[in-house]
Amino acid sequence: MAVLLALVLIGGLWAYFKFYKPAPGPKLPPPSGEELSIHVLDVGQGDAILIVAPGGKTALVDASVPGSGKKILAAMARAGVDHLDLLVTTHAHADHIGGADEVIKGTKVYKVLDSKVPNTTKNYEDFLDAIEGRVENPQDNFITAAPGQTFDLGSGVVISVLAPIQPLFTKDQLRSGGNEPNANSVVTRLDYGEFSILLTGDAEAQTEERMMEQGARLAAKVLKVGHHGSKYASSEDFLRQAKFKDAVISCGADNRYGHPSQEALDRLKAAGVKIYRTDLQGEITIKTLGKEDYQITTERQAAADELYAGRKAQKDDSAKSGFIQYGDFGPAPKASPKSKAANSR
Amino acid sequence: MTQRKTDSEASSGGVEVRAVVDRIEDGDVAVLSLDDEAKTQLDVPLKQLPDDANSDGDHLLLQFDVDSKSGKRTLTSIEAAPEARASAEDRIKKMQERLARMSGAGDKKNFKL
Repeated sequence: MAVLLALVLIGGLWAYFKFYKPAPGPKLPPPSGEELSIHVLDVGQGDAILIVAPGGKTALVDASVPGSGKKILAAMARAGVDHLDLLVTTHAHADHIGGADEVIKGTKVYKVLDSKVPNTTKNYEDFLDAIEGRVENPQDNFITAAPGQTFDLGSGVVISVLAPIQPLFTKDQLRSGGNEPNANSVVTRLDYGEFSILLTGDAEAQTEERMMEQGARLAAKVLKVGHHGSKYASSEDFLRQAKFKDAVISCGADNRYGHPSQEALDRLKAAGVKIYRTDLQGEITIKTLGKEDYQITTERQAAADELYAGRKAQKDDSAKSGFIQYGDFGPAPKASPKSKAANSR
Repeated sequence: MTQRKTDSEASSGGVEVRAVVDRIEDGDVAVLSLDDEAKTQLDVPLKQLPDDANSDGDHLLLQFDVDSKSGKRTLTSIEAAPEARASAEDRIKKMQERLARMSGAGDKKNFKL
């Protein structure tokens, strides 16, 4: 009986990998051959990714924590960008929409793509206020993300939406550590000729599983690692299926949450994925002409062993029965010792 | 911002600040978004939150003691503020509905930027 079961299992797995085909994606335009640049900004414990297409069309994926607006607008100015054709807000947590209202007020934003899963923070209210007040024709330009949507940045650069997938995850469906905004993050991919990058917001394993079940086009050259390298994101199956070559983790050196986690880093390493981290290397810039090869450069250098060393989460192990002294929670744990070895490619 | 006293007014004594649980990070740490101009974020161990206000989006009332000499603030109590949550949910729902009514993007799939 056991042998029969094993044979059935092996046969099933063989058939799955032999015949599984992701859903066909949109027909992509050919690349212009000019340079596309993607800047994963060094914005502390949050995400902000600036995309500049060859023809001058631009997008920003997330706006990090409150107060990040100035930093993002300065990065835009350095890149010669004076507007955003598209602002993607992956979900309503403050480390992703924190500076969104500042950005919307500080530059011209034409379209906003959002999951529309709300939060009850002032931050989220300010974000909605900014859209209502500053985005022209919000009736057309405040868009609810849905798989299958495409945003054409010209020159052959296309952003496609992969998630959230309906029906949205509800609180009772989530595993330990999960929450609705993260699970329903807007997940997109950018394609430009042979180059591709998957931008996952704070999506974790449950969202990865749902995308795999739905046959989403996950295979990409580069991964923006989900949820800042949380142990609950970047599952083994997901990494195996998507076959990333490089991964970028956007996180802050001072976070208490254990991001990136050793577990996620180990899975990425086992999958043969090269890692880049904003907490250790500053801004990370990806440049491509839409061909097979592309360049990743970093603002600072870090040693390979340091890049694969996770941060420890701060635990409250005090015996205090109730109250915490402001600041008594302690500073965030340090990463591994600094090293000066080179790591840009 | 709802404070009974501002920091500068409190030579020593309490300051009350409203806050919202912005998120729970990996099930361990609650990240509070304070209702001040800077939208200050404050990390608090999840187990320090009241049982009836320890989820994303819950509203809280924080009480700080302020040392008159050092200015050091000590968080002395955290209370649930369910009415504030209900009120925020109502406001946001109305804003979303207003924007949704305005939304004409509908089922459009392909956007040329």
